[in-house]
Amino acid sequence: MGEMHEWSLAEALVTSLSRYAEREGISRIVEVDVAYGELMELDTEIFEQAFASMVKGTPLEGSKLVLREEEAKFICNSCGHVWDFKEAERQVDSGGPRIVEDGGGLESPLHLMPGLATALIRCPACGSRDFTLERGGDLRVERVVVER
Amino acid sequence: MSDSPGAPDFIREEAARRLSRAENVIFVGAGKGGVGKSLISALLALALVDEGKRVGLMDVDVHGSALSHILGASGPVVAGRKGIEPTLTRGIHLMSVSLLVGDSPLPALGEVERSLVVTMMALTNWPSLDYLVVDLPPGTGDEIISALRVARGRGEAGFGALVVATPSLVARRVVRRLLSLLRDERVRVLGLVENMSYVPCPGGGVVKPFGEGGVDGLAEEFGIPVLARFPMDPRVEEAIEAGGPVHRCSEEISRAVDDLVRGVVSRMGG
Ligand SMILES: Nc1ncnc2c1ncn2[C@@H]1O[C@H](COP(=O)(O)OP(=O)(O)OP(=O)(O)O)[C@@H](O)[C@H]1O
Ligand SMILES: [Mg+2]
Ligand SMILES: [Zn+2]
Repeated sequence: MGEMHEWSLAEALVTSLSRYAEREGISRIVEVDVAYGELMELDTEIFEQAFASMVKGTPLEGSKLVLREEEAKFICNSCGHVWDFKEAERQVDSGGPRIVEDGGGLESPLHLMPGLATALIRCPACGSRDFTLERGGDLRVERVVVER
Repeated sequence: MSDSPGAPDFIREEAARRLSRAENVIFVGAGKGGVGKSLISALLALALVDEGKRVGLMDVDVHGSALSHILGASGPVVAGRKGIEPTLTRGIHLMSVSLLVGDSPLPALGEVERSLVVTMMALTNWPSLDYLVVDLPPGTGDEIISALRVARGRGEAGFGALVVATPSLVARRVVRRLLSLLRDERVRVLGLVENMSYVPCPGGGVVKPFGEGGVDGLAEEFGIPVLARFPMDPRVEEAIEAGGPVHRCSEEISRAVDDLVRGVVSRMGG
């Protein structure tokens, strides 16, 4: 994975939390816990670096960023088969649409928008696209520790 | 130090922030399927570009995405540190899931569908725009409600909806539901766009397959104007196939497009 969505996601996170702190009269955010789905293939080093470069002068300056990866789990609604990230990767690696990165690299859109999974993957047992991504596809703030 | 409840949904907030790069956001909906929402969205966007406006066009119909076909746009899409770049097609900054996944079917329900629309809005790196036209899917389901929740943050200013209807009795009844929803949700409806009003005949004259009266009854009931009436015109699809300027494919279409642009621009205040 290049470093494309780490920067926009980190910027979105920092902007939202800064405004949140302002709104709530919070003087300092001490810790931010973020859960991210395995399917996003987030490069945590780049995400941390992006985060650190953006928090200067905000209530998040000096805060601790805790990133927790959530394993992906797929369940077929047609045959009941269960599969994981590795199988999904195997399928998108073997072909399908690509996004062109700034630097020229090619990436599956799955990593930017895991919600596209049913267009890019099929059940490895029966071929159905009617499956559920039980978890491992989203990104959210789980906890914020603050000083008033 | 304490845990703070109510941490923000930062993806949704980012979606709203990115939407605010557009001076004006115009939703194009109908409630009913197949009445011409995507075509009218594309025509409006093309004509606004001709007026010198900076125009974005977003397809939030994740299952039945049609805009790329109407505009002849295709991937691959480029992405960088600022997110996913809309594809520049005939002067329009276009974003659509079909640019990302082509024509693969995309079955998605509920939460996945909602988050798909919001994530697309949050990741698209729109430039500064005068107009962002949003092509809605049929129905009043998840994608529409998600997009509405993101857009309503902007308040009355710079946000309006166009509702497309054909004069067919059944279409009018179904479109009525969307109009009621928009009224309940306090979305400003700029006006109705009547599509397939008539069929121009070679050598003059017109045929009205759905009879007289059109959508005037709906307009009256909801106290909104009919901004433009589009004929059912075979030259539309001929122009799509040839990759020509669809909004200028015939005199009748061209006239309706001009009416529509005038109506939209004057109501949005420029
Ligand atoms: N006035 C018209 N003259 C000729 N062709 C038209 C006209 N309006 C729509 N069409 C054609 O009819 C088809 C359906 O139109 P369109 O895709 O715009 O409808 P829609 O309301 O967006 O449908 P959906 O509900 O699937 O989103 C398209 O192929 C379009 O080119
Ligand atoms: Mg459509
Ligand atoms: Zn299966």
